[in-house]
Amino acid sequence: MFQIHNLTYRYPNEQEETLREVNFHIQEGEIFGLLGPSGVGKSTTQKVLTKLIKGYGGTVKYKGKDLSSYGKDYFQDIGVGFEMPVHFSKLTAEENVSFFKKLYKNPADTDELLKRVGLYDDRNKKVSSFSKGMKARLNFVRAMINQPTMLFLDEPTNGLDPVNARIIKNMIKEFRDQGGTVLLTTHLMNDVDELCDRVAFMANGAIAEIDTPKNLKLKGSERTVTVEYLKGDSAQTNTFNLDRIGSDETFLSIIKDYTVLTIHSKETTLEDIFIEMTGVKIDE
Amino acid sequence: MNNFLTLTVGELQRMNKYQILPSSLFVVAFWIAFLYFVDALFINQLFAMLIFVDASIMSIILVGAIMFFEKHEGTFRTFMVTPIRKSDYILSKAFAIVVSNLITVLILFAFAYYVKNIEMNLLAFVGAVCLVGLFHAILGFWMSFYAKDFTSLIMRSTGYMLIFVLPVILVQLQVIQHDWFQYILYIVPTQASMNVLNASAGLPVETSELWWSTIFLIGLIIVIFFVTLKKFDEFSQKEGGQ
Repeated sequence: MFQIHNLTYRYPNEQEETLREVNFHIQEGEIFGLLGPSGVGKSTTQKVLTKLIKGYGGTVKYKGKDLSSYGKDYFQDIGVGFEMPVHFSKLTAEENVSFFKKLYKNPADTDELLKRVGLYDDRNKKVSSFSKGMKARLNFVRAMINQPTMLFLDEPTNGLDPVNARIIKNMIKEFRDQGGTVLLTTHLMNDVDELCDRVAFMANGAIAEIDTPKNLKLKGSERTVTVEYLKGDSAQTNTFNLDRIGSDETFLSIIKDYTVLTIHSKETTLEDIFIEMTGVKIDE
Repeated sequence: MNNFLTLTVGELQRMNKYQILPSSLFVVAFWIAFLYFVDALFINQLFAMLIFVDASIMSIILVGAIMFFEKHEGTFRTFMVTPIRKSDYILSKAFAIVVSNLITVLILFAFAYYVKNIEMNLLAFVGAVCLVGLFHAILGFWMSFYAKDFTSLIMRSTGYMLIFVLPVILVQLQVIQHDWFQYILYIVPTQASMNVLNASAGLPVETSELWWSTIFLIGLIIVIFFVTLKKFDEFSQKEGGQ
């Protein structure tokens, strides 16, 4: 879908480049996660791909053609979900949706979309009366309004309660399952783990690592298992190598003779990898 | 409905919802109250002057207000990822402002005709207001590129009013009567605007002056449109991408 080769970009009035030779590709029909701390260049990368930024270095190809060769029809093909609300606050949800819908050749069934995200009953209320979560859901509807084939989502579940976050995540997965492609930018590692087929970590304006979430976690794993068990009145902890665990007499004796309290493999989390790759904690 | 029409209709709908159109109508009501007490002899002159203020300085302020609402609410960004031409985006706003100017003309015209029994050439006014309103709406669009906030745009509009609008009004009211000053005004867009409106109101304007003013305004509209179009890329990158 996208081939990005040696992408560089420096904002006007900035001394240093925000993007330094960014290289990656997004396959058709996958959810591709772009992760990294604030200011590392992931939003800038997304803005290049959504044509909000021009004058970049390197090449960006979309469906085999240079991105710069696409005109306004490119936007018939893509949907963009911004992190911040992008609605006319004094218009109702329905008025917002109806207005933008008319600008596309192939509009979606917006009543159905509003129903799916739970906003149909509130469609005649002004957006200014909406909560943060409702605005985030309306952002998602706006992104899907033209039945895009490529979807750019920036923190799509930000501000949503678990029930609505689940609805949005299910819709993103359905979109992918029907052949759609997604570029997802988020800080929520649970979303990445659940949704993304592949993940790229960005650090200092470049891609530090790209792989599937599972492979990334396996790469950083210690291949050990820690058992916490009750011996007498006190809790004891032992760690065993996973590779020979079936023939480890001590391990077998513990699980046979004692009350096991907890048992955990030392699989690395995406959050650990994020911190390791970027050197920054998630909430920074 | 093509995208330009959709954008223009949407703009008018939002001008109403955001109280921009009602505010404009409130100003018209104030003017009607003012004209009510004016002697019929002076109506034509004042009529042209009020329309001039509405189509010039008010157009700049209205388009500035629209732009700042869009920047503030983030809707400018969403327009930038929508399949519309930038020329459609700019012109739809300018045309919506012209429609607002024309509503003002119609209301004032109806007042002059039915209350003051004064006949003026409505079609000539419509043509003149389209030229004056369109130029100033696009100018307002261009000025909003350089304004950090709405207050800053108001300051710039005030500067434009003092330099370009006020002298023309003073000449209209014959407070300034020097010939040399009137010659300088030939190259000022506001004087050209006043001339076409004066001619529409039936006030004496020489034919050559009217032709020059009309052609000058059309030329200025073309120039300011392309200058705005060129600057728009830089502005949209700043607002949408940075």
